[in-house]
Amino acid sequence: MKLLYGIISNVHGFIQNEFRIFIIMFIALIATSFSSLLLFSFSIETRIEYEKEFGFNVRTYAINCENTDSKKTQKMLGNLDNYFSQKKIRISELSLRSVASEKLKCNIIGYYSNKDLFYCREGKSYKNLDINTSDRIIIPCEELVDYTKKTSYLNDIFKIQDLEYKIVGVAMNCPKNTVYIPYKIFINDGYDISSISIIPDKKLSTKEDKSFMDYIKSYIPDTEILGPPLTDQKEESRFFAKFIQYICLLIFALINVIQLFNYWLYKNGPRFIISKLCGASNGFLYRMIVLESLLYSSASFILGYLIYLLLVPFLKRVNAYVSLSYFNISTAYFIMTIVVYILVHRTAIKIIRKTDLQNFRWGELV
Amino acid sequence: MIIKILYIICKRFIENKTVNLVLMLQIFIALFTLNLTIGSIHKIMYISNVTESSKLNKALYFSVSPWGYAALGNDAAKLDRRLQQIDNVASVGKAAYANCSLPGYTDIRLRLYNKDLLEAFKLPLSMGRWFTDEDLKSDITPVIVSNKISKKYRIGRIIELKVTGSTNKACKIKAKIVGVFDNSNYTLRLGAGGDNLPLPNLFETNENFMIMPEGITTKQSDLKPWDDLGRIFLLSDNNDLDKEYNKIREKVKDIGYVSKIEDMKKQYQSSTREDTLRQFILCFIILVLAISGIGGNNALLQIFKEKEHAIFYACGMSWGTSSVIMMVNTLLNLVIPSIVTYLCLTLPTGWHLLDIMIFDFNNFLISTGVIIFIFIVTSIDPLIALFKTNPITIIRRW
Repeated sequence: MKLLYGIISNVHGFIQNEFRIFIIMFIALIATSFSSLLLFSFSIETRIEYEKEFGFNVRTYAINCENTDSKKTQKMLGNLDNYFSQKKIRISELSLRSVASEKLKCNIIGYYSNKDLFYCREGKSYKNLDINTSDRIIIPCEELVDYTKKTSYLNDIFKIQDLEYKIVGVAMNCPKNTVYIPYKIFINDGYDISSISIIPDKKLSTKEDKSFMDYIKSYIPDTEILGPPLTDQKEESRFFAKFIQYICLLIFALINVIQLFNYWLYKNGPRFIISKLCGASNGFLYRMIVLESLLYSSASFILGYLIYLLLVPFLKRVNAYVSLSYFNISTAYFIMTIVVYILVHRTAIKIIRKTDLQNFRWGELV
Repeated sequence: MIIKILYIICKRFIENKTVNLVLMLQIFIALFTLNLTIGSIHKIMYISNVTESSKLNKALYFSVSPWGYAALGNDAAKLDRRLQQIDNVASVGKAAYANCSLPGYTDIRLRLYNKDLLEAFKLPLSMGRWFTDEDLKSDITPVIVSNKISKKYRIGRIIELKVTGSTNKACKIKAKIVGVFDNSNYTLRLGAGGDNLPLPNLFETNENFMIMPEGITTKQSDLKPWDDLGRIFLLSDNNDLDKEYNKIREKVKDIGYVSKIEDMKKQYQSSTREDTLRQFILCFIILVLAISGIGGNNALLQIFKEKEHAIFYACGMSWGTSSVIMMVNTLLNLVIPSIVTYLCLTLPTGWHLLDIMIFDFNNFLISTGVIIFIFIVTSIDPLIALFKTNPITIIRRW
């Protein structure tokens, strides 16, 4: 209660004595928060656009195995982990495909990925499940189940030939007539491999690309390998320039926050010193300074977010709107709070440690 | 006295280095991003305006398909003979290119335009003029050079170019510089192929380039340039563009594609509308951040300095001299990041900044002007307060 009263009276005193400065500082903080949110959404959208144009497309290697010796293919796959770990490259996605036939009835993809690549209507994709599991689990695409008959297919049995698999998810927006099973299960169950798709986690250099092609050819010389398409360097640099622009401006916004709180500390320092002279304990003083600064930053961030929400219809109209997830918003808030806290903590400690208050000078605090 | 003042300015500047550095960083970011944003908008507008202001707006672009060219035996002369059979085409614009070098510039792209293309299309020049009929009759080949080349080779100068074409055999051409392009670094190329091409595919960015009329160069030397396989069809004025477009498209459909340049421009404008709007929003954000950041920091800096100036006053310095020191310090905060920004935007060509923006000195001046305006507006209030306050009061407060 005492702390709350202290904070409220301090805010009241600041508004009463320095109303003009309070308004300017608060408006500047709101503007900075709002701009940061907008920049955050722009950078997220640019990242999505970049991933669409230069993400998986420019890293995918497709290997046609229709007319190749399956034993050699298995051997190549067996040594693949070893090859990539030697080159210090990680595999982002690896999928083995068996095309639908009279016997199989559906396309089967033996799948490994360290990212969520498809959304599930129900259940989870393999990223969250144990990929090395010996359980026969499966994710069919939604065309292969009939939701008019049943509301959920989770834990049901899906049969491929004589083998039974437990449904752990139903995939949306994926190729038709396709089921996904773990990569290891696919190999163990002995399906024919008609094609392989390998996506390293970074774009391979010309030298790495050649060496990788040679590696595959050394096992399966009669195969066709479709390497990543050539990328337009100009187009890629356009994306990087955008990122640089957004990052620079986000740094600018952070510097603004630091400067505005520096200014606030400069104006409010004497008030805190007076509190100490009046007998406030060190802990009380520290909490008061930190909480007061967090009150300003939180209030300005919330108001900035409200302005951002008010502008959403306009941003939608000009196609510049990207919905920010709660994670993005809390990340922006967290960064701002941490920066303010570090800055204010430094000054708060200075005030607490100050013993010769009769020699206090205004400018020492900042 | 002046040396003393300069010494004080430098000393104060170094002593307040943290605040000064932060302020300079803010100004640098504001100027850099503002120029990048304005430059991107400029680039989008430039391509549309160039076609708008030339005869290209009422022309058709033909690009040969790979199978069409193969059917013509991969022979450019056969292609031209086939295109001559099309009715109602007043003239056909053609372009070719070669590589050349000059002392100091090793990789210059030399573009050779035929007379029809030169009549239909003119890029903006910063100095000099486009080719005249006298130039075309002259013994020395006239040439228009890019802005970068013009820094070493001025207008009127006769240069000897070492040119390499498709035969890979270098030949020497004497040329006279008659004009200099503006700093957009764009040239028209007719090498792009495909249906519904985006308009920027007809342009190429390069810092080192030259344009020459085709006929004279090839007559003067045994140069064999590479032919661009695209063509510009210019229709006579009394022809209806839409009708002729449909007719010509039908006639050449077995060998290639025809597009209306006006449609290509419209398509480009609609595809870049979102990007332009976003750049405008970014401009707004930069201004908001600059006002709240640079303004706030500048005001803070003035307050910090008031103590020092009160002490100077107490030590016998006039209030006017003290204000000059304050102003010069502020100016340094503005001038240093402006120079760094200018160098960052102009020097490193490896940044590919050329591909995303057009650097224009006028834009740089405008953005610097905006920052100066913010500076002045935010400095006025603390300065007035400083003049009104008694120096003794300031000293007592500190």
